[in-house]
Amino acid sequence: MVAPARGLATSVLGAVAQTTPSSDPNVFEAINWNLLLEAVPILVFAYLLAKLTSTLLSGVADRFVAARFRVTVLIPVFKLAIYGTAVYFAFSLLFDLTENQLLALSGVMGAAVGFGLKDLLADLVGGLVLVAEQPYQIGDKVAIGEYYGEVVDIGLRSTSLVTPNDNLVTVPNYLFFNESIANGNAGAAEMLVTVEFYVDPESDAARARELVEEAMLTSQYVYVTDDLPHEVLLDDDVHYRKITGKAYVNDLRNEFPFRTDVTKRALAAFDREGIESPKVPSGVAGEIDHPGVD
Amino acid sequence: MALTVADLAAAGLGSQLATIEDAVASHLEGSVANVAVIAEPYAGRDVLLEYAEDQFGAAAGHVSFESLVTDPAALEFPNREVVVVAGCHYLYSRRIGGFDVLDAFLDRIANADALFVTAWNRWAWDYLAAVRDVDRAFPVQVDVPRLEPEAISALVREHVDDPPTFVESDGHGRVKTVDFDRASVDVAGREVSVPVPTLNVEYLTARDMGEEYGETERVVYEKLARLAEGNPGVALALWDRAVRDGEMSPAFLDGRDAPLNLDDDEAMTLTSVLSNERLAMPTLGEILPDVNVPQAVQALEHQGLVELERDARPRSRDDTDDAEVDGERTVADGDGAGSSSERVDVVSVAPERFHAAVEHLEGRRLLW
Repeated sequence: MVAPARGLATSVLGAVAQTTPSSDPNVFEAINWNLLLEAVPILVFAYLLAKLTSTLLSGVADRFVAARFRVTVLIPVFKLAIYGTAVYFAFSLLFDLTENQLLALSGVMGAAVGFGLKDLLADLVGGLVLVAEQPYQIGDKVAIGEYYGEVVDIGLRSTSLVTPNDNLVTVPNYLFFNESIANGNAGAAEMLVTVEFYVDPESDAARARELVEEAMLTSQYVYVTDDLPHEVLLDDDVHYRKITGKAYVNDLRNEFPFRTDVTKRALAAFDREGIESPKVPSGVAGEIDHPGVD
Repeated sequence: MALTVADLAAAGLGSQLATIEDAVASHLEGSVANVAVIAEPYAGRDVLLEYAEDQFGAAAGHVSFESLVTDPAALEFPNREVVVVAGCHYLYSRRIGGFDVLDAFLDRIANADALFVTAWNRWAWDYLAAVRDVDRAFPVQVDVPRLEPEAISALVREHVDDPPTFVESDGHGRVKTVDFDRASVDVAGREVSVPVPTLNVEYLTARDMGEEYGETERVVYEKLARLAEGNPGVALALWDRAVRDGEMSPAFLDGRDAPLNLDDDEAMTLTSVLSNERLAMPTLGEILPDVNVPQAVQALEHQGLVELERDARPRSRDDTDDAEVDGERTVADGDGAGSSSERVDVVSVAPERFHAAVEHLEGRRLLW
């Protein structure tokens, strides 16, 4: 992929050189190793400064607990500003462009983008749009494509997620244009969590529903207000009754502790009150995929 | 140092007293609108309740719940025209089945002819209003708000007979914009002490107070209001502990503002203590069956967040267990956790760390 792009870049440069007045030096002629060595520290400094800023803001955000998103929203903005400034200074150092040289460079860039770097550019543009539109922020729980997890970093090229299994997934930013993004909390600390239970049709489903509701409302992780209500739904099926509890957790990081807490205490209450799990008749095994928690 | 009606009136809570008087007048005119007095711990809830009782005179009976009630049979009320009920936050616990007594209580008062004047811990009330709509049962709500520094100063001036001299002292006792605290930084494995500039927030925010206050006095009241979270009872407790030999300085108000480090179990234990104010250890264990309560309480005590009263009686009002004397009834150990004579360790919130505890738990959304 790289070699053809270089070849094309060379040919484009040659074509441009033919149309460029002799008084204008070739756009790359003025670049020498000394200038390159001067530009590299700028980029390294920008990288370190962006890392430091990100670390400091993350530390400050953690002190705000549930209000941390007011701080984390700034991290990609600062990183964009730092990298943008660094690239500007590095280019200023390397190129002193006339209009013709700018035209030539655009041709080179166009060819490079068209043949080899289009994905990278798409990622970069995606990163810019992410900063501007903010469909998710650092700390949000999102599903992008097949991956679900907490956003831990938004870079110019990619977004990093930590999945429930503690895997770090790097998602290219161009997916923002192609994939649907489901955001569980949209910049808020609270998040709606669903817990599902299946009970035998012969058991008292109404009582089971009450128990699930109480298990949710007495959990140490629950958060209920007029704007963030809870609900418990009861569905009927031939082989089971399905109880779906929905409530907000006080912090999205408590999604799984909440599910575990509610499930554990609700199942213990089911046992105490003789509410049984559905019996799967022979021949229909598999219809109920995962009895218990979703 | 107990609050009085005069203290609350001086602190600007006259409208709360007037609401109670209006409820009395409405009741005498034949209207029954049950009353809920809602306040934080130490904020003068009992004072307002006693004021209500005084308004009704002999027509009122009094029931006081002093520890967790889990048996609906404990809900016996005097046959009076008006029933004053203290400690209603003991009528529930955060566990499956923990609302049964509360639901029975709400059913009882909905079907009663008597007027019920009830008192609730603020955080218990907010929680129950969200998950149980308890606010619908009480059309009249007397809410004790957090006090501003001016109101705190009025409260202290009303309460204190011999005002101290306001003086500057070292460190944060000096009245200036920026102080320098020392912090240890790890540099190449060695601890290095560096000065860290700290904004004197009280000094900056205290400028809005009136000209009748001296500069140091303004800072003292600003800091007192912040550390007490505007809570009158906590403010007086902090004041009493801070005055030294007739002098008061901002530095004498020790807020112990070190950041808290609580895990989920410790945070939930602290939430339960704040919502109930004073709990026996066995009762706390019943409310939080999945928590190692002794360890959690030890961690909270180590950070100065709670006070542990060893071998105490779990209730405070009097020594009568489930006894009724002339319309006065106290219900203690309603859960049958122990006999009235049994002495247990009792946990309560520490006034010095009240601010830190509330701020931390509100930040984690454990107090709503």
